Amino acid sequence: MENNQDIDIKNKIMAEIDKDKICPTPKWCFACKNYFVWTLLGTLIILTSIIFSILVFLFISHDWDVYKYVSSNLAQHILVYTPYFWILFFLVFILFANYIFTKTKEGYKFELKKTRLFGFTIILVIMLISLFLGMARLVHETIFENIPQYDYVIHDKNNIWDNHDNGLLSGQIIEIIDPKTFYLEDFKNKLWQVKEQKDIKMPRNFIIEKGIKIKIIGKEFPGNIFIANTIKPWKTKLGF
Amino acid sequence: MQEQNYLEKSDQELVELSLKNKDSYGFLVQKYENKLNRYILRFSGLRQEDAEDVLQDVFVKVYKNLNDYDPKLKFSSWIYRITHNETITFLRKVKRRPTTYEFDIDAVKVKTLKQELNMEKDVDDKNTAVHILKMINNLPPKHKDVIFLRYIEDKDYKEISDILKKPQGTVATLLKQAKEQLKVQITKNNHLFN
Repeated sequence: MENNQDIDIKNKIMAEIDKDKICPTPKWCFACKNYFVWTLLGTLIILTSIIFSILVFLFISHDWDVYKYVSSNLAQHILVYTPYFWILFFLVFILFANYIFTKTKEGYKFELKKTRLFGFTIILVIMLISLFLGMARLVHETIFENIPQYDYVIHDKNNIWDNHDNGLLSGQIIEIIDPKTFYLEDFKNKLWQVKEQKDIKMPRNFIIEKGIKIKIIGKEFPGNIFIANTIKPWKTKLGF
Repeated sequence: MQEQNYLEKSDQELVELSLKNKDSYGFLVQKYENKLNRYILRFSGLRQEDAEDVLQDVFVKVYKNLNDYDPKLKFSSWIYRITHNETITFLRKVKRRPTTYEFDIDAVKVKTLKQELNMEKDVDDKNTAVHILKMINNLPPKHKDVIFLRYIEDKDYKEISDILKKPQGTVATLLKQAKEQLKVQITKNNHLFN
């Protein structure tokens, strides 16, 4: 009884294969699918790393010490200046990469903890490369210059230093008038005459020159005059 | 005579032959149809007609995907994986939870299960098997899958890992958790085994 039933199943299957002209899918289709999954995973890892490097760039380049000029307290400052947009993208990409990894042919063989640690190490390395090669800055600034809406969702150090009402000004020196006075064009192309206070604070060996970008703490006066008590280079020591 | 030759060939050889000549695939079907039919029935509790439908889908899918078979994997693990997934898909389609079909487990398996679950040696094997199967069936699916493959289908950790596409460490953890749950159930329902 059991044998007859077995023969039926085998014959039914072979008849179905014959009737529907079923053929094995060619090897190249599976190879393409496999390459696609790995390429997608690689792309996601690189994109996640770049997003991570933008997050780190925004954090490092943020001048945390001047938060008092623009926010009433540190908690409020963090709330306003946290780059939610990039954090959301980072989480979505990392979850998607994790999902794609499980779809690879052999992904299941690796222990989750080790895989995550390995993945995070790769992301960390690419993030550091992207950060120190200036990729994070480039992506951030390119989006900033080309997509006006970006300014509404990401508040970076440009927003902080574009606060002349609250004593913060930034821009490029376009003309030195005398050792204590110069003209500065802010990032919104507005011209300012900057006068240095007597006891001005500046980093050691920092020289005011035409063409350099700076940030200034001071006080605004009528007629686009700004009295500076602190001048710093636009970029931090690490170049951010 | 020719059939005898085919049946002596390894799975890998049969896969290669099937790719060249579809009639050879019949021998691969013949080799696995009983085992897989039994697995579907035991695992899902489906009726024989439904199990046959699932089995047909399995063998057609296997044939279509023969070029995707990776020889680094045991062919039996690969075909069990497809069978397991097709059975789950079928159960989802008919909106049913797997129910373990009542079947005879051989004495060696019952003995192993009793040892693994720290049960007394003198409890009745037949009675034990029936109740343990019911308890296995009531486990959460992830626990049921591993314990079923380990103790009913006699698969080792590597095979279970390949069938369920889970790391071996996860399989070991799930198995440990499943046994703990079964032990709790056995202690709670101790009267059933006397």
